Amino acid sequence: MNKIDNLEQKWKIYKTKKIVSSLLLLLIVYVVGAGVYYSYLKRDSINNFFSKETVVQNELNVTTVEEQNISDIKSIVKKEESVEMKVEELFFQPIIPIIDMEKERVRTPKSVIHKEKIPSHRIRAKPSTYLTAQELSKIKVSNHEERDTTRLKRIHLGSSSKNYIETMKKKFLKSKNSRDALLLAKAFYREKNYKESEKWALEANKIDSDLDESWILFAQAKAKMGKKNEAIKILIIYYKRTKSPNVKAMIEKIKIGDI
Amino acid sequence: MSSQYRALKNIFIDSVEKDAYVDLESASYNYKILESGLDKPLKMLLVFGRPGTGKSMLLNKLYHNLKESREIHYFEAPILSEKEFLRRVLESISSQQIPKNMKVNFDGLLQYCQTLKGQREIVFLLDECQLYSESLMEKIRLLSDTRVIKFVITLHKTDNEEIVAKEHFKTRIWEVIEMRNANEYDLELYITKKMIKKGFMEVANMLRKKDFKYIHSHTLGNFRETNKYLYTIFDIYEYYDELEPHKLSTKRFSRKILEMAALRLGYIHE
Repeated sequence: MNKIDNLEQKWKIYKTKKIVSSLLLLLIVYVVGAGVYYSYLKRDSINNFFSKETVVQNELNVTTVEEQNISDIKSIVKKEESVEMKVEELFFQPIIPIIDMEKERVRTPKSVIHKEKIPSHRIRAKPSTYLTAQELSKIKVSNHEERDTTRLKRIHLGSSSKNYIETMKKKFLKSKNSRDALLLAKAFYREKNYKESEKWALEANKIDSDLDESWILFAQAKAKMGKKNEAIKILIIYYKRTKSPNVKAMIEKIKIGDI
Repeated sequence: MSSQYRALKNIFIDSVEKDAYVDLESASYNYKILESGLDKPLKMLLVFGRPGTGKSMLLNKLYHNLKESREIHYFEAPILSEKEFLRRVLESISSQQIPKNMKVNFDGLLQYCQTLKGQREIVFLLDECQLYSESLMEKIRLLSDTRVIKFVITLHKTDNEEIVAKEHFKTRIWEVIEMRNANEYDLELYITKKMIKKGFMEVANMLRKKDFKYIHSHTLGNFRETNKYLYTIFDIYEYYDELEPHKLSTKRFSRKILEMAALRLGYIHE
């Protein structure tokens, strides 16, 4: 019968080990679960920690969109839904390497800057873009005699009158010129009518998809309407194609909320 | 007064007695195939499976069920000597005692069988045929060719498969019955029926599904292993019943004892 006593002792050891291992397993499950929960809560901070990896991932995402041969804003907007999930990440991460624009300006020779600012393929401002004397006469200006070039420019840029907008609209209907559409977009932007501004920027972009300003203005209007992520996304896509420093600067501006 | 568990453990002593046979669904199916196979013009029938799957029990049941109705002989233990084997076959057929100093001539036995053709059909049940030599198996084959003797042989699945695989046996063994380990349901039936048959209904009712599951997890449904496990369980039960009965519950089967028995048999370790 001593055998049974020994067996009982063995069983006690077995049972103890079993209980201990079960508790350990439970503890591991608890620790892993808590870890997952904690990391979920602290996802943002962890994301920052692994920012390098995220940048690579984001670059890939952008490249994928690029490969789809997106050439204008409208088609990008259509693709919005597919990449919407990534937008938040894009917003938090430095997608474009941050470049000190001041330093860059110093390093870059003036001629190069000039070249970049006015690329040869870009549509230059033509005299026809500006208002004719007849058109200008409709605009209420206090002193006709003071209408020199500087004054005109100020009126164009500074005016927010409906009259100006109406005139520009008519002009655009006649000319179907991207610059006219862009001027309208700017006018609306100044009037804080961002929806209309966005619409006219899109119109300008339809006519000339390589117009930097139309992209920038479109994104600015979006950002003003609280769609910062969308704005950044659109600019990133365009930046990937053109490497325009203006666009890069605008991305940074929107990111830091300086708009 | 001795513990009821002493009698209970004894019902799980491994034996091939007729009483020990438990009618299970799978076993009944195999039995029917075997019995109907004897009525077919087959020369040999093969029952094979891993040890402890109930091959011997099946032969034993067949023998006891048919011994009154047909000419059937059961060689429970393998006869390894050819001389002895032929003597036993002739003695069984002729119902005569062969003097010890005489040897049975195989050709003579074959000729004798030829003379019985169409008059008699004798069935020989040979257990553990994996132990028979190839030459003896060849003689068995030739005897079956006379169509007077029909052999039912059992083989371990893993042993001597090459004998069965040989062409001359392939053409002769027409009915092959494979015996398998019991599933959880069959094992539960096996244990319960065995206990109820001997009047231990109360103990049988104490066993729950999870207890059967635990038993099956260790024995994998092998009947021989199950008998060994249950014998050990009730051996421990007997000890507690006699010396420390306060440790035993009358309502539930003791998990502790199940585990102690598993420890003793090496199914689990400290």
